[in-house]
Amino acid sequence: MNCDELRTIVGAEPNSTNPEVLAHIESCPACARYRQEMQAMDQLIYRALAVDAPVEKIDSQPSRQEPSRVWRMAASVLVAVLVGAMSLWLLTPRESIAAEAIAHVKHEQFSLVRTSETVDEQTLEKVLAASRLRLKPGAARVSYAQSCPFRGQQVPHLVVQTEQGPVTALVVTDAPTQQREHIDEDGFQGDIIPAPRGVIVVLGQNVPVDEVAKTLLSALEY
Amino acid sequence: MAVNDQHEVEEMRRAILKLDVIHREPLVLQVLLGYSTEEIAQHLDISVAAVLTRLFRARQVLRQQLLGAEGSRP
Repeated sequence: MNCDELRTIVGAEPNSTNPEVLAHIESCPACARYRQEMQAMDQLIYRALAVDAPVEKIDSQPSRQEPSRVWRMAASVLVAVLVGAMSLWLLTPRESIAAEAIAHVKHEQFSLVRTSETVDEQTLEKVLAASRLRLKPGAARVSYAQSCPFRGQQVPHLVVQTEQGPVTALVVTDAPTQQREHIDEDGFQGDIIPAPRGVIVVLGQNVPVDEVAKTLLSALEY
Repeated sequence: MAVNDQHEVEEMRRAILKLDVIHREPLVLQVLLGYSTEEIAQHLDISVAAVLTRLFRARQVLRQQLLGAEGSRP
């Protein structure tokens, strides 16, 4: 294995235990340093994603996280992100719902991972109940549920997993009801859909959103 | 956390948010959730080789962005 090959492997997996990698870094101080740099960068990535994670827990490569811990970390990130999002919201002129929804989703891009994990029912119920909503059990695979500030109110921000990828839904109950409006901006496609109270904004990145829109309209109880 | 330390974390967060979703997804699954390369490939329905390429590319982009940010810092 030469230095280029090693750096390709370590660049993808800094903690690789490939015997050839380990043998190479034993005899190559430059590559050993490169690996350390990559491992240090991973710790920084982890801290950037898990804002309030205790320092002692991030000294080594994190192992698979338990769902509750993952959601606690996501919540920590959310707090920091929301502070920024809220400041932006207060400082900038009011934009269209579409533009604000996209800006909000971009601030919480970390929620847009494709995953088989789903949020527990209690959390989902709590988030929806804050807006006097309820989702029929088992109607959608919701991997993310937070109550987020949006246009001056708290709205349920959900991410629904589909076969094609994650779709974001913002259930804006206090907005004026409007006709269906298509969104295709800034790499996001979706719709603003009239709902019994306000609207639902559904957004995806090259992911069809129609099914999620239909599911939410039929399964959300206002 | 020291101020410089916090600054680094903030810069990294900004850099991660700038990544394309195809590069960010596998990185988040690997670093934050501790998924193996094979598990990521299964989740994203792509090959292991494609996962490794995306992970390599993601770190390359982050490194370049951070080095750039460091260079422009007063």
